[in-house]
This record gives sequence, structure tokens and C-alpha cells, in this order.
Amino acid sequence: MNQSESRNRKLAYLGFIVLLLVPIVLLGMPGGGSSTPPGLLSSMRSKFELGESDIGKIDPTSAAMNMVLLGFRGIAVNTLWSNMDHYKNTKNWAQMKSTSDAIIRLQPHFISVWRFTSWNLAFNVSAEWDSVKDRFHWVKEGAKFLQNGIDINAKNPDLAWEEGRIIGFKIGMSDEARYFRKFFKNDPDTELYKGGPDPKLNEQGLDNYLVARDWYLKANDRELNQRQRILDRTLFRSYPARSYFDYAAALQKDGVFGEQTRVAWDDAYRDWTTKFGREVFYVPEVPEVGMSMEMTEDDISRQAKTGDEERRLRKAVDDYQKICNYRYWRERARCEREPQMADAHREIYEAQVAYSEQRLTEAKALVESGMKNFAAMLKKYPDLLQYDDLLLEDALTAVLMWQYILKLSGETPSDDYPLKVIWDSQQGRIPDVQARLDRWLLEQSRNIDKK
Amino acid sequence: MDFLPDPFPLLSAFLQWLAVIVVIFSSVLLITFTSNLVSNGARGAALYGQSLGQSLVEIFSTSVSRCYALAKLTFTEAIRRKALFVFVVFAVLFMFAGWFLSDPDQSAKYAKDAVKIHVTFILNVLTWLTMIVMLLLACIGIPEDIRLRSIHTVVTKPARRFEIVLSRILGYVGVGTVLLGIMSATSLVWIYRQVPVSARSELTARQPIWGQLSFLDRMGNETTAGINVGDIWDYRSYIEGATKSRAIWRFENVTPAMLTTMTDEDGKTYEALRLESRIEAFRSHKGNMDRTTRFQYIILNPERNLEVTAATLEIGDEFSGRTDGIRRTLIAETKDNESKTVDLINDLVAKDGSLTIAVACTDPGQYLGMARSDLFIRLPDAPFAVTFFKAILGIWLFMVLTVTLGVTASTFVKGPFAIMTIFTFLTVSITGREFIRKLLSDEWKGGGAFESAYRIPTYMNDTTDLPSNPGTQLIKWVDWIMNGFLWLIQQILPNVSYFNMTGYVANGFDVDNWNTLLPAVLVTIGYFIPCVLIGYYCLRSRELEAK
Repeated sequence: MNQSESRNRKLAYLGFIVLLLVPIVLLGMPGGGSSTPPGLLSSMRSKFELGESDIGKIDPTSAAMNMVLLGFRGIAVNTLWSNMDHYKNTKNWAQMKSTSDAIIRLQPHFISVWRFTSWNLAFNVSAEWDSVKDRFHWVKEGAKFLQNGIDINAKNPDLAWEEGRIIGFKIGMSDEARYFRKFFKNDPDTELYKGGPDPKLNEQGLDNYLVARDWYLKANDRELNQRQRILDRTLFRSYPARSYFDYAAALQKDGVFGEQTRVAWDDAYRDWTTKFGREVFYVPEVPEVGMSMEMTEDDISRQAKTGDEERRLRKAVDDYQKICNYRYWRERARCEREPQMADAHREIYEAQVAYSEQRLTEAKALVESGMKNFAAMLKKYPDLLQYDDLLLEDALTAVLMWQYILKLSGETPSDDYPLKVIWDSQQGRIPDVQARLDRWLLEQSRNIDKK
Repeated sequence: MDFLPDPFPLLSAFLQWLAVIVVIFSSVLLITFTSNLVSNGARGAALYGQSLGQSLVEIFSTSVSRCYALAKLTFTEAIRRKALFVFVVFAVLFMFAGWFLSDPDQSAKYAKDAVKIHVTFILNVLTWLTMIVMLLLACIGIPEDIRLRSIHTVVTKPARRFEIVLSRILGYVGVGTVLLGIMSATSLVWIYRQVPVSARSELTARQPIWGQLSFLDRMGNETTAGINVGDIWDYRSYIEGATKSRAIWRFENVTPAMLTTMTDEDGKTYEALRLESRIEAFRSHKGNMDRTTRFQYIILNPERNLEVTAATLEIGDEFSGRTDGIRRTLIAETKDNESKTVDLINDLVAKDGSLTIAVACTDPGQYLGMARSDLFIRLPDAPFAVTFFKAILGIWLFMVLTVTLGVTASTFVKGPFAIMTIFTFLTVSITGREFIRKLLSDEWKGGGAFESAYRIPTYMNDTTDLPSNPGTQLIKWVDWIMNGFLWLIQQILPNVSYFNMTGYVANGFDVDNWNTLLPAVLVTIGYFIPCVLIGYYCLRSRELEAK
């Protein structure tokens, strides 16, 4: 091959390169400028909302890292995942957190990574620590980590829902809930937060369930535009209202009674029945007709066009009410928002406190009144008895408390007492309820000793 | 834990090195002698002897001044090849490192983690940058000289080929030393600036005295390990609370010089033995959540039948550790329930100079996990710069090893091949050595490559024996040969883990001189000597006219 042949061949290659560049430049012409129209790729990117700015907040670090790695992102991510797992197993939390941050920079729009890592931090890592304050710190780390994901993936509903779950479920229902709920309003790091909440999670110092509710509402807003991939849609959208129930129940558990708790139940009832209950869902069983949880028989007959449609719609309403436990929560909230029920809870709780402080006469009077009120309410709302629920546990706790008081006073329990029906029918649950009550009393006595 | 090394077996390591060297050089001498005999007949033996004699003369008449001149030439050439461009990469990495590293935790308690992250980042950057740059330089030097025929200007002068190889290595090491020196000094400043003020106390070099750990079970009987609470990582062993279960450390050669002056809560000073612990808790029930799990330090002297409870404490910040002082003067309870004062050194240290400290968990139903590195006597710390520059010395030694291997490879293959060969060699040494060890030590079940290839498609788990038939016998036989080959590779691969001292620096410990630094030096020398000789013989037998 002589030199001229070689030169000609190189010139031909150059020609092809230039030729290919023309359509690439035309197709890839950026949009946004006023002088030239955007290229096809740019238009399609805008149309299908695939650009970084359409998905969420742009992270220059992440973009730089991905660009520098060229095509080696997959290899880098795999190595980092493997490292993160190693750090977690060897309890090297600092490096684990740092590695998870690096993974996220490489995969900022991979939703499962955000979900997995935030769960890992808030649930798994936090459980490894002995001190409750440390555990709370890692729960916060999980929640804060997820907040970045929510910003970067501004349209995704799953992450906002997960944030609600960490703040509502993890903080409100874990073994350490009593501490976590307190820390959520008054962070244990007093040096940094001066006795107030961590502003990144709870700027206004609200109850954790109310903050969780805001996240669930955000998730619901996003869900209208982008499909969620976590739960059945009816369940997913029930969470803001469910948070209200959790909030009201938590107030009772914390020993907060009276108007505040009653109002909380009332709000929960209204949210459940007028907002979630009236929301229209198109379910696969009856795709042609909109269904809502609060549909009455008349509504069903009116909506359905044929007999078959009416039958399917009736079944769908019933099924989805069961999925969401709709009827139970409606009945429970209706009952709890009544002043008599609030009195019953208050009296039973105060009886427990009085018992732990050895004020037996007062405790007896309170628990007996509480049991009476409780029984009256259950008589008024008999449907509640068919549900296996915490409310029944409260009733069992009241009877147990009453028995403890009588035993300590040297009295014999009578055969006929309020809530006897529940006591007799729920014998299997008594050991668990008793263990919980004993633990509560033990903690209470420790607190008294400390004082 | 990567700051508590295993004792380095100096003698057995030396003997193994000697055996490998003898086997390799004997094989090479035998092969070359035989090939000489075949090609030159009886005259070959005489020629071989003559050549060997000349080689020995060359080696033993090495001139320092010529080596210096050639090394200087190599240094200048490396600078001309834009080796200093590495500073640009280094500067860019430092300018933007803050973007990619996690933000330090705002909480003072967790801000300490920033030390680990920043130190690990820096030492990794220095290691990889230096290794890549020096590998490229070392591997292309001689092949380029041969290609451009500039090597003729050297070999036609009275410079010997042994000196060329040696000087190349020294020249590149000189360049690497300058690069590493500047980058490490900058890095130290960068670390001090980047680490939050509240965490700067963690930039230190603890001087630990490690003990030997043993366990007692819940009945008080000696046992090899504590309880496994289900952790994947079986590093720590657990003792049960409110039982006779104990974790017992025995510290050798405890003297009054190890005592430190400490200050109590009232500001009063006292003489004490400073202990640092990292004890992990495992709760089998919620227990008292207002505080962390409690433990006791119990000092034992079986010779005098003394058992003194020195302190009852909470584990506190379990993953960062806690420091406590065991006072020199302690109160001991006698069997008659009487109290008497005992002296930590005079009464509790045994005649052989050992001190026995038991750790007990006092909370019923809870467990405390400990490993050998979780309790040590902490002597006064050394400055952080001491441990940092020891780690830099480790990187420097690794750079010397890289250069040595690179120059050696470049004497028998062309530049790109030399780069690929040594890069693969070092990567396998870093990542594959442990893999090969596990494979050969039967720690991993399931056999070798062929046995695994048989088990996977037949869904046979690794604990089931292979069926006995000629096919499986053949598989085992082939695997045996392949494992033999792997064993050979294992003998040649350097143990590069000695060069990585990041674990010490990141965790605030001084690098162990005898069990980490010394092995790193010996590994480097162990490869330097044979590599220089191999490089020399390869260059001597190479046809320099060939491009």
C-alpha cells in the first residue's frame, strides 16, 4: 500500500465522519434558544419529560460524576454496592453512609436505590445502636437521605410516601416510639438544636403523624400525574387520613385526653368519610364506573347501567372497603369522637397512673367508671366488637387494671362487671395485654423513682 | 480489624522467600544451561560459565557515580515526559473532592466520622495516583530507549546493563518520592482544613497496648469464644448479662510507666491506667431504654486470689468507644465482706508482669459483644502526622515495588505489554490474593473451577459429595492441577495488604512498626533483589537492535 492510497482512505473516513455529523447536529440541536428551532431529540425530550430538569432538581455533582465515568458507571455502581454491603456487615457506618451517597450520585433517578438505602439507614442501622438517641439519629439520617431523593425526583410519588412511612410508622410505632415521638419535637442533640426539633424534618415542631400526613398528601398529589408502585391505589391514597387516626390514637397512648384528642378523632372521621371516602376510583373489577368508599346502595343503583354492572360495583365497593378496613375506621372514629368514649379512655389511663402511685381508692373509682363508660360505648357501637383491634385491648387492660387494684386492696372481683363479655371472649389475648401493662407499670415506677 | 495486625512471622517468611528465590533461580539456571549445551554442544558449558562469571563481575563492580548519573538522567527524562502533570489531576481532585464526599454530620458526635472518610479518601487517591503514574513511567522508559535507539548512547559508554536497570529504578523512585512528598504534605494540610473543628481531636495516633482475649461461659467455664447473637460478621463474641460469663483480657509487661495522670469530674488529678473500649450491645429485650447497657471492669489476680470491681459503666457510644481510667488505688472486697485498699500495680499485676481485666455485663438478658481490639491500654498519643507519614511511607514502598516490577517487565516486553502485565499482577495481588487463599484452604466449599462448573448446572449444593465415577474423578484431578497452578501464583504474588495502612490512620491509631511497617519494607526488598537480577539478565540477553 503506497502513501497516496493511505491518504485517500483517511480522507474518505473523514468525509464519512463529517457526513454523519450533519444529521447528529440537526437532530441534537438544543432547544430554548429563540433564533433556531430545537432539534428532534430535544423536542422529544421535552415532550416526554425526560430531561434532568423535568425529573427534578439538577445535581451538578451527580452529572459531573456520571460524565467523568464515561461508560463505566455500571462497574462503579456494582463495586460501590458491594462495598456498601461490606461496610454494613462490618458495622462501619461512616463509610457505609458515604458509599450510599456515592451510589446515589451515580444513580440519582433509580427509585429503588433511594427506597432501599433510606430503609437501611432508618430501620436496619438504627437498630444496631444501643442508645435510643443514637437510634433516633439514624432514623433521621434515613428520612433526610430520602428528602434529597424527593427533591431530585420531583414527580415520583413513591419516595414521598416512603418519607411519610419513616416519619409516621418508624417514629410512631417502633419499640422506641415513646422516645422517638418526644425526640421528634425536642431533638436530643440539645447542643445543636437548643431543645427544639431538627428543622430539616420538623420545622414547625409538629407531631410526627401530622408531618407524615403532609408527606402522604404530597405523595397523593404526585400520584395524580405519575403512577405509584407500592400499594393498591385505594390503600395508597388512604394514608393521609390514616395518619389522622394514628395521631389521635397516639395522643391517647401518650395520656393526652380531653378536647384535643376528641377533636383529633373528629378530624380523622371527617377526613376519612368526606375526603378519602368520597374519592372516585376506577378499579379493574368495574372499569367503566367510578367507585367510592362511601357509596350507599342508592348510589350504586344510580351509577350502574346494567344489573351485572350493579352486582360488580356492589362487590367492588365491599372488597375495597375491606382492603382499606374502611368500615372499621369509620366506626371507630365515630365512637372515639364522642365525649363519653374520651372520658372512658381518660379514666382508665388515670386509674393506671393512680395505681402506680399507690392511690388505690382513687384508682378503683376511676377504673370502674372507665369500664362503665367503655361498656356503654361498645353497646352503642356493637360493630366494633367484631374487629380484632387495639380498642379491645384497651378494654382488656381496663379489666386487668381493675383486677390488680382489687387484689392489692384485698377485695374479691364480682362475677358481674362491665366489659365481662369482652374479657370472656378474648381470653387468648390476655397474656400479651398483661405483659404490656406490666411493662408500662414498671416503666412508670422507674419514672417515679427518678423523680 | 485493620488496625490490629496479626504478628508477622519473620523467620518463616524469610525461609519461604529464600525457598521461592532458590527454586526460581535454580530453574532459570538449569534451563539456560541446558539450552546452551543443546545449541553449542560441549563448548556450551564453558561459554555458560564464562557468561555467568562476567555477570557476577558486572554486578559486583557496580559504580555509584555511574548509577547516580543514569538515575539523574532517568529523573530528567521523566520530568520531560510530563510526569508532573499528575499535580494537575491531584489539584482537580482536591478542588472538587468536597462535592463528592459526604457532608460532615452537623452533630458534634457524628462529625468524627468525617476523619475516617477524608483520611481514607486521601490515602486512596495518593496510592492510585502514584501507582498509575509510576507504572506508566517505569514501563515505557527502557522500551522507548530501545525503540529510539537512544539506549546505544548509554550502552556504548562504560555503563553496565546491571547499572542501567538499577539506575532506572532509582531514578523513577526519585521522581515518585518528589511527587509523593509534595502531594502528601498538601494532603495533610487539606485534611486539617476539611475535618470539622469538633472532630479534630480524632486526628491523633493512639499508642495501644493490646492484650490477649479469652472468654468464660455463663457457668464460669473457660471457652474459646462467647455467644453468637446472629451477626453475619462473627468478629465479635458476646457475653451474657448477669451471669458468670466474662470476656478476659490479659496484658503483658504492665509497668507503672503505663499509668497516666487523669482528671476526675471534680477537677482532681489521679494516677490511672487509661483503658479504651468499644463494646457493642445486643438487647434480647427492650430493658431499660433510658440508658445504655452496663458493664463492669473487674481486675483479677489469681496468684493472690484478688478480684476487684474497678468500675461499673455504661457502654455509651459503642461504635466510637469510650476512655476510662482505672485508678491506681482501688478498694477490694474480701470474702469476709471487708474492704481493703489495693494497689493496681503492686497488688494486681502478677509476678510475670501481666494484668488480667475481665469485662462483665450487669444487665440481665442483655449481651455485650467484644473482640480483641475492643479493649486496650491507651498510652499517651503521638501526633497525627506521625501515623500519617508512616502510611505515606507504606505508599512509597508500594510505589518502589511498582517501579521495580515495571522496569523489570520493560526489559523483556514492550511498554504497553509491560503496563498491562504489571497492572494485572498488582490488581490480582490487591484483589485476588485473599480469594486464592480461601479457594486453596478449603474455606470455600464446592471445589475448584471444574467442580463448580459441574455443580452449578446440576443444582448440586456445595456440601453434597460428588457422585463417584470416572467423570468426577477426572474433574477432581483437573482441579487439583489447576489448584497447584494457583498455589504457584500465590507464592509469587506480593502481600500488598502490608502497604495499606489506611485503617490505622483513619481510626486514629499509630501504624504498627513491627507487624505492618517492617513487613512492608521486607516485601519491597524481597521483590527488589530478584527483580533487579531478572531485569539485568533479560536486558543482557535482549537484542537491542530490535525495535
